Amino acid sequence: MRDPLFSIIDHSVYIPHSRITTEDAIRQVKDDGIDFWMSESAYRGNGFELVPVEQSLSLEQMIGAACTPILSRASQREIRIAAIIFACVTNRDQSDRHLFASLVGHFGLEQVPVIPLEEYGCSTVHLSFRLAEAFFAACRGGDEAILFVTADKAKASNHRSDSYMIYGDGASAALYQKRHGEGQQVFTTRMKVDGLLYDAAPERIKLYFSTFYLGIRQVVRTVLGDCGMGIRDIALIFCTNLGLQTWNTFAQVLGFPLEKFYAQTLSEEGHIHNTDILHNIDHAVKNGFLKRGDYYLTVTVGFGGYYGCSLHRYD
Amino acid sequence: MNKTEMYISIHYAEAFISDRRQPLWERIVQLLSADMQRVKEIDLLCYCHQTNPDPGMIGCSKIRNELNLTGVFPLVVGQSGSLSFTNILTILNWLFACGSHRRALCVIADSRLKAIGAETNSYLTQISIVCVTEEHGDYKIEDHRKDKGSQRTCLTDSAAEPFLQLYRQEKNRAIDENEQITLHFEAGEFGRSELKLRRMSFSSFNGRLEN
Repeated sequence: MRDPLFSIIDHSVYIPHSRITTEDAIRQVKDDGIDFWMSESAYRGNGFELVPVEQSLSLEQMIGAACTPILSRASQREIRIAAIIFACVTNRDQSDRHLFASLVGHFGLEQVPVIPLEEYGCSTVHLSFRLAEAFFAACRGGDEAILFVTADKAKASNHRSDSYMIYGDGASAALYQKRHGEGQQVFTTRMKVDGLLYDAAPERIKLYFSTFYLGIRQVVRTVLGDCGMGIRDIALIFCTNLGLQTWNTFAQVLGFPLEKFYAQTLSEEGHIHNTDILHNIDHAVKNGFLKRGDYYLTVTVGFGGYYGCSLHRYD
Repeated sequence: MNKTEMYISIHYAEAFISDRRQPLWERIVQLLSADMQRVKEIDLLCYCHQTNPDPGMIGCSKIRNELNLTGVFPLVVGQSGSLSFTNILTILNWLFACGSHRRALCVIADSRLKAIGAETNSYLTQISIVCVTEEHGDYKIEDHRKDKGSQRTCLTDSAAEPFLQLYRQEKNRAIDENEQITLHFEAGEFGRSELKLRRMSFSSFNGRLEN
């Protein structure tokens, strides 16, 4: 195996304790005029049961909850943060403009660029991997790090659902550094961008739903081919929590067993935008499903045609 | 991080006031269509904005599809006031330095309701189209860095504005070879940044979009 591109040397996940049932969430968004595309029971059949809902913290405080442990540890280790990449899929209102002010002030990071990336939806975590690959390829020193932060909080029903999925609230952060042999190694990362859905035109929505699994097939096969690996070498697949039905489609087109998809967080937390990936990895490590030396894939889908896949090893 | 050399050229910049919000993507596609030869040379399409001028529309994706640039990697930076452009530069520096990309077209576009003055209830639209490459351009980027900002809420500043000023300055007088220009991006609560440029020789100045 080649050397890793970089490592996720630290990560932190914040998910609110408060939950509502998917039935209640769907009823609420329907009451508010969202044309949700399936029944409550059909959605539940995808493995979803509960939706985390933040009831006390602001979006800024959620970011603080996810980032503070990492930045405290990074500060103790004198790790220099070169950039903060931020993903927030949920629409934000004016009160959410000041999201990083107190955090960067507290940790003396005022001169560090905070880069909010848009359009890639729930695949922005893989865009951050792709950009980190470029950063570390050009970075000869090993002491600089990139902080990836993602946070979402629905303040209205059109944030909670886009008609197709119910989104939970949560935040997570990960520190990337060119340090081998520590944390989650990243060996190869690929993205495919179709960008089919730039508006709500029904014909493009139909085209997207009839082709998105092909995008996933392409990036996953490319990643495995890059590393000369097959599904037998892969312990687990951490995929965007799109539900069992969608994962089953992916499993079929890839020829993978559905059991490889890590489904342990599906019922309690459902789909939380870009947080799914870090949360699933964190959950699998803490519960002993991922062991040191295991190779695994991360796979994401950004609504509208953004696909990402990376090969990792837990060291 | 080792910085790679980067050059920029302002292809076009404009500001206009209208009494209703017009689809911004249409104007951008119109401008870029006039220079497709050069647009086809890019491998990155970057969209920098603070406002969302076209509600319900994903701007960069729309422009990419309209111009059939499906092989071009899109990057979109918003939510950082006028720092959206310097944030893109930070990323371009990484992508150029690792050799994966060489030529980016940055569309910097904002449209907002004018809040004060006689033209209240009309829209101010600002568009700057800037090419960033590692090879050549009208200006060499000498430095760009972020600094601490102020607590001032900065609702209106667009990264298009400093380029608009430079574009007008270029039209009013020839900028001397080797002259240093500093563009200021004041993004209030998001921070501020300076972009230091050095004018390259005029032989590298090879035309731009005509309106």
